[in-house]
This record gives sequence, structure tokens and C-alpha cells, in this order.
Amino acid sequence: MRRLGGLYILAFLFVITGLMFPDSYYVTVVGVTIFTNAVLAVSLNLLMGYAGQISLGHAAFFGLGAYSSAILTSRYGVNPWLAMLAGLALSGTVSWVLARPILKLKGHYLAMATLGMGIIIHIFFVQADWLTGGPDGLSGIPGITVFGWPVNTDLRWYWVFGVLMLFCIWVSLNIVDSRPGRALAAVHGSEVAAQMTGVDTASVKAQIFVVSALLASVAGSLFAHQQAFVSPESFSFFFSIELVTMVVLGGLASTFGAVFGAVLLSLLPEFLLVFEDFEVLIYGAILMAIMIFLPDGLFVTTSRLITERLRGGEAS
Amino acid sequence: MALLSVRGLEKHFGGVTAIAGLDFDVEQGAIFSIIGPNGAGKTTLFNLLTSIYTPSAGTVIFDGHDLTRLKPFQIAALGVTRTFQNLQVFLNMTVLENVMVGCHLRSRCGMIEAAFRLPSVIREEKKVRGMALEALEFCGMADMAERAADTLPYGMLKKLEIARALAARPRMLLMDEPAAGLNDTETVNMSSLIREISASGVTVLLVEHNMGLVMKVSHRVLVLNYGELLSQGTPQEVQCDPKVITAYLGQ
Ligand SMILES: Nc1ncnc2c1ncn2[C@@H]1O[C@H](COP(=O)(O)OP(=O)(O)O)[C@@H](O)[C@H]1O
Ligand SMILES: [Mg+2]
Repeated sequence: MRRLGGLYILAFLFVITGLMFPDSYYVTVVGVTIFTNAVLAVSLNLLMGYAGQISLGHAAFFGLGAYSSAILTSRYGVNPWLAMLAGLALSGTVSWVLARPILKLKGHYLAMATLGMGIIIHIFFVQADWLTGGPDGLSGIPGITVFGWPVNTDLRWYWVFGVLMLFCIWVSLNIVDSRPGRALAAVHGSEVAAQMTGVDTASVKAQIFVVSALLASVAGSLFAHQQAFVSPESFSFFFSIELVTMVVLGGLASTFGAVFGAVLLSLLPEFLLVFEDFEVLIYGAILMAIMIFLPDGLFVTTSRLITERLRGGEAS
Repeated sequence: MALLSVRGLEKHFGGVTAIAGLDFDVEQGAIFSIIGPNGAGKTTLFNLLTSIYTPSAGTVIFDGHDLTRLKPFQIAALGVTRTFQNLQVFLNMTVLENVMVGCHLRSRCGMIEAAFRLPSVIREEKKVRGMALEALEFCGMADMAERAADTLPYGMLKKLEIARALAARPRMLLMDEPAAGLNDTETVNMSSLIREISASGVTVLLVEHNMGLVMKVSHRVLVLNYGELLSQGTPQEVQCDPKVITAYLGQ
């Protein structure tokens, strides 16, 4: 109960919000963006927050999922669920092949290598126009049906993406609190000590790289169907950086921190729209301020303060 | 046959010879101490025995396996584990979680089972928890299980590393300066802990500067000087060896 408490609360909020505001733009449209980003941030956090391995190319796997679904369903009429599986197979293979050589690297070198991976895959989306439609993207991607229930309204997409997010959080919480999850945290804490307790560090790092790629790929597939259109700019280097920012902003090594970072970074631009030209400037200033004053992340710092308050209250 | 046989072991760092052609055997069940001045090569020797460094030459045979061909995690799987002179505690975890990582080789759960938290995972978690608590109990730290590792005092961190190593149920434990930085009471506790570990059937390789402790607990002592074997024998033999006396007092 304590382990999944946060998940239950989030699920409750998700359902209540969907039922109470079924017509709100902020709930259905922004909600889907938030959920997509949350899935990506939670999956990246498994790699970055828990295992301590940075990736500046996470958007690439989101893109591989999206393009697999987009191409197979719009061009070849493949069933969307089969297309999603094909996307998973592709993302899984690419991540598995790249994992060992890339994750041998550390620090700045790892950052550079993942950055390179993201850029190369992005360039492929742009250049291979015979397949991907090039910079103009691909349109005419059909919708999906879940057990005969056509997902054809913003509200229905809200439910679909919300469920995917809750599933990802559940998986993340499960992994963190398990033998492989502790092995990952051990790699983060001290790689040499992890090895001396028998952890095959290269293998466990590769595994989590694949898991995080697979989760991103599913999000990408659904994203393609929801948008009915994909183009390379959704999967660029800038988006990868934004995902890293979400994870860091919420607080590393906290699943709900990643969710929180995703919510914040998805909402912030909406609220800053009133500032028009200064939007980006204020956005940047807010991010800088948070990182300077709360280097452990907003969510992690706040929840620690609350816990300390509660503890203090008990003591007195 | 000895449990551990080291033959012709050498390690050079550029021009520096850290270990120069070392031969020795460690018998099953012994407390085998390695002493020598700072920079003698003791930590380097431990790093060679656990494949953290690759030797420039020589072999390390443990129970019929050449450890120099294996990776550290494979060596751990053979039942060799260690503690570190510069602590390598997982500071991002609780005390209990640290020791649960120590149980890695005694549990099976893989990534997919974990992701979906299959019933087998829940059962194994409970078992691992029990094993970890047992190891903490052995080191007298059971009451600290839920504390964050980074809130422990230094002496406790040293014990935590030992508990984590013991949780793997090793056959041989390498301890690099377990008493360094401990006060007198803690040192006395540490020496009884080392004896209890040995009594539980674990072969102990001990690197330590506290001569009182070394001479009290060891069955055999090896003296290293500039990476070379200076002397070897029982604590009495080593203490009376004129070469050791000159090396220690002459400088
Ligand atoms: N990674 C390394 N790179 C270069 N020199 C090293 C390295 N590790 C140890 N040395 C050198 O090897 C010698 C032995 O060091 P060490 O094994 O740490 O000694 P001890 O543990 O006996 O104090 C020292 O001269 C040290 O500088
Ligand atoms: Mg040393």
C-alpha cells in the first residue's frame, strides 16, 4: 500500500479530473501532452535518475515508435497494434545493439554518444523522405480502437494516455523496488562495489536502456495515432533536452519527481503564453531559478521538507 | 591444496612497479594478513585478486579457477568478495537496501519479472529482506536497517560494507584496512567481528595497519615492501624477522 500509495492518488485524480472536466481544453488536450511527457520522463528517469546514466537522445526512441506506427498504418494498412509491436521490436533492437558500446562510456562521453545517437536517428527521419516523408512529415495516420471502442475524441485520448502513464509509473515503481532495481541504484552508488557484490553492471545497464526505450516507443506509437501526423521536429535534440530537464527539475531518482517535472514543463508554456514575446525568456529564468535554489529538484526538495515537518510535528 | 594460490603476480603502472613477482598461498579457513608500509602495494594486490586491475603478469588461482581471466562480478559469483579502503557504500540507499544488494547472487529475479511484479518477485523480496537482516544482525546493525546510509557515522559505514559483503555468503572475504579511522572500542569490536567471520567458515584476507589487531587475529602474516614479499609466516615469526624489523624501524 505504502509502495503504491502515490500511484493510487494519481489514478484517483486522473479519473476525477476526466469525469469533472470532460470538455476542458486544459484537461483533454494539455492533459494528453502532460501524460505523453510523463511517460517519457518516467522512462528516462529509470536510466538517468536510478542507474545514473545520462541520455541526451531519448526522443529518438519516441520517434522510432511514432514513425514505425505512422509508416506501417498509413502506407501499408497494418493494424495499429501490430504496428506498435513492430515499433517495439525496432526500438528494442536498436537500443539493445547500441546499449553495450554506448553505456561503456561515462560522464561527458556518454552524454556525447547518446546525443550523437539522437541526432543520427533524427537526421534519418529528415533525410529518408521516401520512407518518412522527410521534413514535411507523414499525415493520414488512422486512429485506434481499444477492444472495439474507437478512440476518436480528445477525451478518449485523455483516458488512453492516462492509462499508459499510470502503467509506466507502476512499472517504474516495481523495477525500483526489486533486485534489478537495486542493482541499478548500486551502479549509480558505486559501480565497483556493485560488481563486487556480483552485479553484471554492463548487462543491467543495457537492460534498463532497453526498457526505457521500449516505454518511449509505446508512447511514440500512440502519439502518432493521436496526432494523425508525425514530423521530425517532434523528435529532435531539443525535445531530448527538454525530457532531461523534466527529470532533473522534478528531482533525480524519484518516479513522481519525473511526473512532476513533466507536468510542470508541459504547463509552463501554456501559462506563459500571456507574456507573448517574453515567454521563452521567462521560461528560461524560471528553470534557472529552480536549479539554482533547489538543486535536488522541486518535487524531491518539497517532499523532503514536508516529511521533515511531519516528523518534527510528531517529536514535539 | 590451498584455496588461493598467487604465482608470479606483477603490476606496473607506467614506470612504477606496484607488485613485483609475488608468490603466496592462502589456506582454507585462515585469517591471512598482508601488512606493509603505505604504498607497499596492498590495495593494488586486492585490486588484482578481484580483477579490478589486470595484472601485468602472473596468475591467481582460486579453487581451481584463474581469477585473472574473469570479471569482478564473475569472481564474486565464485564466492570472493571484499570491502574497500576508501569506502564504497551505496550512499543513495538505506542500510537494508545496501545489504540487499549484497544478496544479489543469492536471488534470481530478472528485469521482466520485476517490471510486472509477478508473485515470485514478492516471495523473493521477502526472502532477500530476511537474508539481509540476518547479515546486519551478525554485524550488530539490525536496529539501523531503515536508516539512510548517508546518515551513518564512519565506523558504522565500515561495518555496513562488511555486512553487505557477508550477505553474499562468500567463501573468501578481502578486507582493506577495516580498522582504519576507528576508535579503540570500535577497533576491539572489529577484531572480534573478524574472528566471528572466520569462525563462520569464511577465509579472511586482511590488510591492516593496526599491528595489535593483526598480530592478535592472524594465522599467517605476509609482509610487503615496495611490492615485494619481505617476509611470511606466523605472527611470531614475522615479528622476529630481522628484515621486517629493519624495514619498519630502520626508516
Ligand atoms: N591506479 C593507479 N595508477 C597509478 N599508480 C597506482 C595506482 N594504484 C596504485 N598505484 C601506485 O602503486 C603503489 C602501491 O599503492 P597501493 O597499492 O595503494 O599501496 P598500499 O595500499 O599498500 O598503501 C603506489 O606507489 C601507488 O602510487
Ligand atoms: Mg591501501
